[in-house]
Amino acid sequence: MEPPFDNGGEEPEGAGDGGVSVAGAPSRRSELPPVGLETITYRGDVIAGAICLITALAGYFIVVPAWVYVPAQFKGTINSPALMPQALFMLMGLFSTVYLLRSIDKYRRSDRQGLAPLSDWALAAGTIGICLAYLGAIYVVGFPVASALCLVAAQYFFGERRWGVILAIAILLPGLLWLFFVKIALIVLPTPMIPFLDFADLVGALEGVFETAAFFFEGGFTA
Amino acid sequence: MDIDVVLQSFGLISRWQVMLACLVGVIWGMFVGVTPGLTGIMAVVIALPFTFFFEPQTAIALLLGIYVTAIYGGSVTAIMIATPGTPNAAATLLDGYPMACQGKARQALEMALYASVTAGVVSTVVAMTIFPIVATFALRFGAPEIFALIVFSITIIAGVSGDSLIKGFIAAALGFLLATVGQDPIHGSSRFTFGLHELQGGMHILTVLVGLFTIPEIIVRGVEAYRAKVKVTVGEMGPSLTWRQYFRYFPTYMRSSAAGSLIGALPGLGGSPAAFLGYFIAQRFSKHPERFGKGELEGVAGAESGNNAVCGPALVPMMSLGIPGDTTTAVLMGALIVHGLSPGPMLFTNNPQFVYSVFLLLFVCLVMLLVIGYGVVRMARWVVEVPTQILFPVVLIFATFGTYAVRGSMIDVISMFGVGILGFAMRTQGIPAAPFAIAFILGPLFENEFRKSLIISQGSLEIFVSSAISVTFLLLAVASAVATVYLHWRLKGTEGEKMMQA
Repeated sequence: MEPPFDNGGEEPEGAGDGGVSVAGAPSRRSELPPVGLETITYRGDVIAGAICLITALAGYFIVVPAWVYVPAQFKGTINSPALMPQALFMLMGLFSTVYLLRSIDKYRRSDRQGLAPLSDWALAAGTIGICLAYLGAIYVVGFPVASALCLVAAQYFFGERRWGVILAIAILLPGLLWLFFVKIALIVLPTPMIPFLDFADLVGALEGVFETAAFFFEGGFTA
Repeated sequence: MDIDVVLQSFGLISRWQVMLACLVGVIWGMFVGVTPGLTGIMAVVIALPFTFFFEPQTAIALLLGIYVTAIYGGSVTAIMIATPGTPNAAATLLDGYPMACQGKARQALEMALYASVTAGVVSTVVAMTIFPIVATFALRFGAPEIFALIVFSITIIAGVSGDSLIKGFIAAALGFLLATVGQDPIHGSSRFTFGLHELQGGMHILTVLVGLFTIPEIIVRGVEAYRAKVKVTVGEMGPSLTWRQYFRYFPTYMRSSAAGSLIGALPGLGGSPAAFLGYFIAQRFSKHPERFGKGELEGVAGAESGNNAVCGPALVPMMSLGIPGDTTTAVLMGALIVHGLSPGPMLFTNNPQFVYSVFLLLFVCLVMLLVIGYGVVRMARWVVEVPTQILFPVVLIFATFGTYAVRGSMIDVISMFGVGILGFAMRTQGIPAAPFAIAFILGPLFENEFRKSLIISQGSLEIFVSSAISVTFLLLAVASAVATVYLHWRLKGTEGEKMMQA
């Protein structure tokens, strides 16, 4: 089934006269939902089809020869390690061509095209930006601190405004996860570029303080 | 089956130490299952050193409890937050999460639980009663037969392609391609590793699944939450599953359990293909195949029956032939060896009581799973009450920690975000994620068995039609693909006519 609002919030193809409401008849445009991030449009189909086709061609002609090592004795044989990737890129190229041609045809025949509001794309880009910043921050400040910062940013970006809740979650959750994964599951987290922010060192330092205090209170120095 | 031996086996397990070990295993397995990044095998390995101090029955009770429960546990997060706790839960997500979004989370969770237990009981009974026959039949599956079975499973791609077959095929090609990253399965040549040694082992299933399903959901939910400016939640728990609903899908449990049992008995396949095959068979026999992927209870029943039916039969080749079916059963085999029991043909001859006690323990684990699982279903209520603007940032952190924990590699985290962005791009243009996931999971098996067969036959394709088993599966695959495409086009025509008449 083709998506009913495939031409971007306008009437589906075939209803009325080529997507345009019949004069005098009440328009169904107002009943149709607005174009959103997940509304499939012919314009988007054309772009997606073109990207898929370029990917398939680049994969077959550039990526496979460059990044699949084929021992000399297997070159061109059915046992070649490149056989499956090449076959898959060929199939992808075939499917993409059909997809692109069909989308271009439908795009030409529809009179108007919808596009999701820029603000929706900006919001999606913002969330992706938070994810990528989180990824970078893990390298710089380590997993627990990066997670805390990411939680603050993401909760605020998603609309949470109660700072007590934001901070409580940002502190407690990474701490608990660190305790579980590092201390119980014994998983080694990556060392951050800024060493003094390494959570393991911080906790180690705290443990040292407590041990020294315990030693002092037990009369360690006087003994 | 000798009743006296079964009664003696019953005596072996009816001790409080064994029951307590089983309970601890079930609780630990559930915890691990619902925690993304911790897999069943990891949980079993962590528990293994503790079992060295136990008797064999107590040790195996603990490990079986983890093994059985972790499979169900993974489905809880798949249904509630679109994050499969274990790779086996990916097929459950396809209908479970849409059900949660439609306010039917409780029904999805309860169906997953009851289908898991039902399939577990059915497959264990099968494994127990036809123990030698199953082992012998499984031995007849060589590379061409397994290849034909995988081809049959792959035809599911057409069924889960949604509105556009061509988009489904593109998604499947991408999934297959991603599965080729890493070492070539036959010669060990590097493929698409870009000089990164971390990619030599390929991309981990959980990394791809979390990226594909969880990250796009976080992005879309983030936009929704920002727009709403008010407290919004994933959905509601909704009504409980009725007995009528449970019994309606009894044939589905049986069919998908049979498929899962067959996969379980075959060495090297594991729970994920079984889940997809169970889902596929449920869809094929359903009166409403078009509802699959949109929140169909029968889809959850099929997937869960498929993946849980693996447990009992997976023990059969391990105990009867000394061949572990998957990595978890390999660890279980190691535990048996540590305790002085040698899995293989002589185990059944020398110690039949122990063999049956293992199967009886599976029943005990399933009963405990039912009780603990019911408690987890009730606790899941807390998840739906958390506002989206808090829940999804928390999910993002869980997903990242979990993905890193699988192999302790930052490349996995980068891959997860990369696949996530790709998944989001696919979602915005209606390119379905399910064919991608299925292709990624079945891709390595497909290539491995295909190329192994060709090596055996010295390049001749005749090997694929040389045995009755492979011919049967290949014919079934062709029939299934033709039927799906025909149904798809007929449905499309009907929808088009309706639209024209509107």
